Amino acid sequence: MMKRTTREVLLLDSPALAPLAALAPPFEARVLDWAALAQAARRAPPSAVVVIDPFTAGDPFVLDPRVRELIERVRMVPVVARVPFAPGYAGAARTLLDWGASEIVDAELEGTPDAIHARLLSVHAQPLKRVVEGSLSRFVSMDALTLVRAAAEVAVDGGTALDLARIFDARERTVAGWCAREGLPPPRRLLAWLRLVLALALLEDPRRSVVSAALSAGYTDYSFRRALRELVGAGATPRERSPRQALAAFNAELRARRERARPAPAA
Amino acid sequence: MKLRHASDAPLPRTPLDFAYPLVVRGPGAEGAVVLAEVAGERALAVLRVLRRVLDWSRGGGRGAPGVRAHVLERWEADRLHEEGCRDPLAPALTALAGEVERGEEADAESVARGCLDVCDWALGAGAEGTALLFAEAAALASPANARFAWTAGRMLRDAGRHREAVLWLRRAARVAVWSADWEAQDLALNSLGNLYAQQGGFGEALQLLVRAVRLARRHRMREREGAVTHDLFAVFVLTGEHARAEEAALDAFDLYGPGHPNLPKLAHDVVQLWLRQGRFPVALPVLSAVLPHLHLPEERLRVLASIVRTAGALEDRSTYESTWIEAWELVHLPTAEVRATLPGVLVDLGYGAASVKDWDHAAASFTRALEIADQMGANDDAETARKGLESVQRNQGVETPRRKTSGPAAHRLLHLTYATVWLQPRNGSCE
Repeated sequence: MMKRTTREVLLLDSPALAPLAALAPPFEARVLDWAALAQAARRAPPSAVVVIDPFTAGDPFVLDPRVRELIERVRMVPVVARVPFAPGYAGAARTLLDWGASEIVDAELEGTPDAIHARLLSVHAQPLKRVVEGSLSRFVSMDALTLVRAAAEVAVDGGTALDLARIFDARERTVAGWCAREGLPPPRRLLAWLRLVLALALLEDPRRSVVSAALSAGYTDYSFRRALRELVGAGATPRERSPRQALAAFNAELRARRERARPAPAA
Repeated sequence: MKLRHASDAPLPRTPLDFAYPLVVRGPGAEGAVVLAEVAGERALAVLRVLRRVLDWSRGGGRGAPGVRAHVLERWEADRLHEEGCRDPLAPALTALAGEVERGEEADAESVARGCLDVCDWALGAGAEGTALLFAEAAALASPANARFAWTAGRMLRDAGRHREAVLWLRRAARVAVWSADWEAQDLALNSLGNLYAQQGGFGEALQLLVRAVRLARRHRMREREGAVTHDLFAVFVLTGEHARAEEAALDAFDLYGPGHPNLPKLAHDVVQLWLRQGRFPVALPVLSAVLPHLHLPEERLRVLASIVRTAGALEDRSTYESTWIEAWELVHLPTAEVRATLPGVLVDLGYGAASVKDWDHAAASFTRALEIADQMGANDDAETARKGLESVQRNQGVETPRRKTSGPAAHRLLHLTYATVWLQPRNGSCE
């Protein structure tokens, strides 16, 4: 599969967000009005980010009712809201996070392309991380969790084991050694699991076709079905599978690896 | 202190250890818990400063100092004007924000200490998650100082967030080796050992504590050697190696020396051994003598729970009933320190209640113990509570059968404990 080298930023056409149109790579901004933004966000790849000014044009303290609908509809694409960190806005910030916004940015301190760059990087793969960690075994160590989180970032970009190693500024063999030590599958298989969970999570949106979900997760239609068969098992169509089922199978594999790693009782 | 490496790097090259949370982040908005915990409009001010510190630790603020200084200055002035000097948060936040905005010139230790000031405020305000975030921020701001990582790890452990606690305590141990801070390394190994013991991983716990004892001995840290030996004793009690436990307790008494503030705590822990050995008649006087010298709620609660258990086993109904009331009130105190003791305390309360056939109290204690021990990953206590609850549901007593498990040091230990309690009663803490 092709690795995505740019990350699309769907930017709401609002005067407050106008300075953000010229973002530095890997981000590329597309300025859209509300209707176009909602439509583009639904079809966007999971590496994209949606940036909005969540307040109504008439009253800068009142949240626009379209925000909640947008966040609920595009669960696998992070939504970032610009909020003034000033008196009167704490309630709105809490509400936005309750609705499921991935991040809020400080309007005053993070309102320029340079300043928002780090915040945009930080939301990368956040929806996938949420899905995975919600069902991950509590026996997974913190180091293993760090590897899984990094693998989620790579999977969303369609990257490889080499990209995973680059995150840690380490060699592929070193990362493979860490995976073995922490009871995780080797990097390539770990990425395969996360890609599968990503595709199934995208498919939870009933408006997405199987082909669209597969392509967004870096598969062809055929390779998605094959990965599903190999990792989760045969006997059901992609639509009949859920990310939760895939994560249950992933947890079972992790448990088996932990059992194998445990020293045998003395005779 | 002599370094054991030739590299000039401030940190060891172990990228996985240092990746979270600055390089690889978790899900959720950064610092979101601040908004959930801190009431009113101050939440955004606290969140803003936390994020400035984390950006600075990532190197983001170091390259461009002063770019946003005017914003912070205006904001600081607003905060002071609004809150005045009555609120201890305002000066702590403004001092921290001011230090961070110095960019490359900011002093890492000052930033870290500023974070701990906000952490203290958050603990006082009952915002535990916020306090933990600032403790972690302190460790990230000054990554070459193992003591900040150790503080974060210990706080996370006490909050029951064991997975993250292991990460920070391991990081503390590793950084301490790198910077030749033997005391910090010893503290980290000690805390890690206690954490594994709390989770029921006694093999790992013993390994770490033995390493900590040897390290303390090698570097002539007698105080530390005493504290670790004390914890080693507690693990031997839990593993049922009573003879070794008694030897370790004697060593701890010796290492602490007369008048040491941890002696009452050690005496209380020796009583825990006696409770497991069924030596209730000798335990009760020690517990009653220790109690007046303890003032922190969590320490009083531990002793009160032991008294409930002992009085129950001795069928001393009046002591049981009067002690139960105070203990049950303390169980509901919403502090992190009290919460950290609850799995063991509730098990003791359950034992005591079941011994006097107070089935309702016994069931309530074991049920709550099970719930909290599961949440905190205290596997050993969870297992004991589960067994206790099963017995209570069948209306069976659950007290430990009396058995002869003491070793040759038992007699000396009894005398030493009694002497400690009646001759040198003081308050203190270990680890």
